[in-house]
Amino acid sequence: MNSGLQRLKKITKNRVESIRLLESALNKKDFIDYILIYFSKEQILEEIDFTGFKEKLSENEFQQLHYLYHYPMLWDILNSNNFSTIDASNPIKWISISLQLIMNDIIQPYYLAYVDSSKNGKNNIIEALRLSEQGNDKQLFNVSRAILRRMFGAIQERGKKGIYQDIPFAIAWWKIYLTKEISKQTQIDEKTLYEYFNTNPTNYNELIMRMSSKLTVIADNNIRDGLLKYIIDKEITNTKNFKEIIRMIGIESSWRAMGSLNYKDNQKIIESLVA
Amino acid sequence: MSQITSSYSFPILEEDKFDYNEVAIYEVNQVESDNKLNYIVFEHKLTGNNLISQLLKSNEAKFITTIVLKSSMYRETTDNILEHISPTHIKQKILLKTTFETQSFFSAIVYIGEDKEIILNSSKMGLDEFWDGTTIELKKGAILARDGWRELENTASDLLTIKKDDVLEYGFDVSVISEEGGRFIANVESSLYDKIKLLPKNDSHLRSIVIHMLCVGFMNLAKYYKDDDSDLTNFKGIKLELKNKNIKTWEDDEFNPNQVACYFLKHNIKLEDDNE
Repeated sequence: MNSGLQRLKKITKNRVESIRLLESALNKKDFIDYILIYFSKEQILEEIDFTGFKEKLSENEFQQLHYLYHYPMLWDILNSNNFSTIDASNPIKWISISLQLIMNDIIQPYYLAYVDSSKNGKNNIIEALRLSEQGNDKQLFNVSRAILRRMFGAIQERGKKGIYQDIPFAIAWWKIYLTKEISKQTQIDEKTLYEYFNTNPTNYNELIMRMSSKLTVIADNNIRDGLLKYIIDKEITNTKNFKEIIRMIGIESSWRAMGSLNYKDNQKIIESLVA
Repeated sequence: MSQITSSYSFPILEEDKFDYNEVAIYEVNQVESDNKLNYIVFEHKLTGNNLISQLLKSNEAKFITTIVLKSSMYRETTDNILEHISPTHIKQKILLKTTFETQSFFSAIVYIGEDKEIILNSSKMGLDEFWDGTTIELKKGAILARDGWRELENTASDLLTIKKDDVLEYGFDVSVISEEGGRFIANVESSLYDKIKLLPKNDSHLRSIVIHMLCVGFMNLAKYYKDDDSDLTNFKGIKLELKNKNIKTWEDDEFNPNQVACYFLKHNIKLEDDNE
């Protein structure tokens, strides 16, 4: 299984394979056939049963799943698979889910080809192939990378944060997970947290990036919950301020085991740091 | 002359730091856990009469362990007490996650009383004289003593050390040592060692040699530790993983060392069609 992933990860640097990937992504059958060059069909589908997700998505909906409508479906289906945070950090699980979304006509394969500057995947693919024919492969590699990012996070380039920040269904799952965990401790309304994460995506990305790599102390539930309680209570949306608070927690944690204190203590500590 | 220091300038008990006298020792050891495989037990012990032991006795300090599983964003700090031997000596239960990823642990003693200023006195507090007369501000959560980061090694290849052996005439032999939780040691004949040292870590030939080494290691594990592997705490994670996957362990007669060696490295084996 991982051998297939290893080979698939490499194709963004391979012109011929990138063209094959983009051409296949214009058509459901071709795309499935192409991905199944890398994985055994039985094995990849056995990773998780996502057939319960039956809501056909528009391209816009796929890029921004709705927290009131799509999130509960996603959560319930994955819960029924005993999906854990370790599973949610595993690229193979998300490849399996992406493939099932396409097989079951929930999304079109070209939905995966959106980039920040252009959200129409089909147009991105056609334009990238056209430019490549003219000898310009920059867009080809960008779109090839985008497809892999939306499918499993393209972790060869971005590490695990690619999973948490680039795969629409993974982003949704992690927002639900964090929301439920934080809400359980702090009693912050779930809707408030969903809206905060969705209307402040750069802050969500910053939080995830710190938690998963550069400052894992933020991931300690007592610290994370104290931070979010403070952020929500003080209505802090400015990313610069958000980053600064996280930086101060990092420094404070060098001599103080904030994770050993409850979230209320940590909220007070953060207040004293910011004052 | 007394002086008030900044909040993080206070004595800390840790290796290679000399804030406390020589009698003061903070030790954390991973100990047996009654053959239960979903957790490990850390034994925390503070030796000596000092500021920290006094704070522990007055319930103003506690033993903690932080558990980190970096790539799944899991980080939690526990202060549970499995066994209270004395205020300065406890055993703590640490739940393990089922994963191949290395789990990291950080143990410490932290201050949990209300924020307060105290004037340090070396003879009463077991401190170096340097601190005499200094006023410090102790804040809730301050780390008073710390153990270094430690890891639970879960994959078999992590537990293999390859060593050059100038005496060995050809090939390699693999032994199991039980020190520090246990490990496979592969002693390798010098010319082979020099060759494999140059191979990239993902080289398929190196992988096959490593699988062979692990296979021999597991054979010896079954041979010598089938009935009692209590010293091999590093292998606990592997045993847990095998049991969860319904694969026989070295405790079982049907244990298959080759299968297990391949199982733990299969994600690294390069297939023929990888050679594009």
